[in-house]
Amino acid sequence: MVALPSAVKVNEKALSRAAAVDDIARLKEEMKLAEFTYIDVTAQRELKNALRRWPLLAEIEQAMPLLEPQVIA
Amino acid sequence: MRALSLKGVRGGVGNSSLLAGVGYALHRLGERVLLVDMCPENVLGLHFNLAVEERCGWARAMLDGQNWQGHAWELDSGLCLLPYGCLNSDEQEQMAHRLRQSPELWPRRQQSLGGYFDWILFDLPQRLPEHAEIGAGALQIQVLEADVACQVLLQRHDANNILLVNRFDPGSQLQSDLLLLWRKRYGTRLLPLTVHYDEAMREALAHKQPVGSYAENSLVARELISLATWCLAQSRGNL
Repeated sequence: MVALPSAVKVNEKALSRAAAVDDIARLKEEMKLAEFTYIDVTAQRELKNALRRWPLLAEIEQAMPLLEPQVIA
Repeated sequence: MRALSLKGVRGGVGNSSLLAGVGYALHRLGERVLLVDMCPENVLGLHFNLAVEERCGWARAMLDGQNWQGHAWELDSGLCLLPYGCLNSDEQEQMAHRLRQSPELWPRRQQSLGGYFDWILFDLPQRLPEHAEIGAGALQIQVLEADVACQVLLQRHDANNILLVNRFDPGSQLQSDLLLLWRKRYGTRLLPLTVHYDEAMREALAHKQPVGSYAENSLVARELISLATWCLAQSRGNL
């Protein structure tokens, strides 16, 4: 038989870990940037490169926009 | 009982092999499974060692005025297969007409079989859309390959179903780019699980077996166990 840590202790750990990883939410709160929208710049750049590589994909994207206009340009 | 259907966005995306593999994987996980071939091409049975010359099936039986239930095969305890049967093109049109007249046929059959199976899996065809009328309650997955033809067809005829990429090759720049775009466009509709290209899948059919039986430790067989596990989680409302 082993004694498991108490439920309260486990919950505390989980909470503190979750709070630690949500850096962006904490930064928004700290800087009072309620309207700030997070943009994954790397993913946007990769999508833009993908559309540059394949003309038909770019044409489809023009017809049914998925990305912000400045990303396609 | 839960119904699951797989339908290709276009022909030739490996729908039947995938369905045979998922059915086998669900059975390996302890589920009672019935596989139903709704395709006039009648190839699903070949994945389970049925003879090429075998002509019987539910559609053949219906046209011949026989009992359709009598044409299922018990492949293993808790694993059954109902082939479509061999029909010429005129007969296929006749069957389409009969299905159009009775859209409740397959939903009713599902109800009557519900007590005997945990899952009924439907291999749906591209053409003859009446053959895809199996009822609204099914978990419907559209199968596609990461190519531009699938992209164009998906945008023209989007059925708003769950999307599963088959035969994915991570070494291909085009396929990786398409997957990136689709993840952005379709979000959670695109299954996070992708089935990779694996020669074992083609070899399995050449050996008349589902891939989990032919190459248990292949990449694709393991991915199909993951897909079957995802299906179980869906049916239990865990996702």
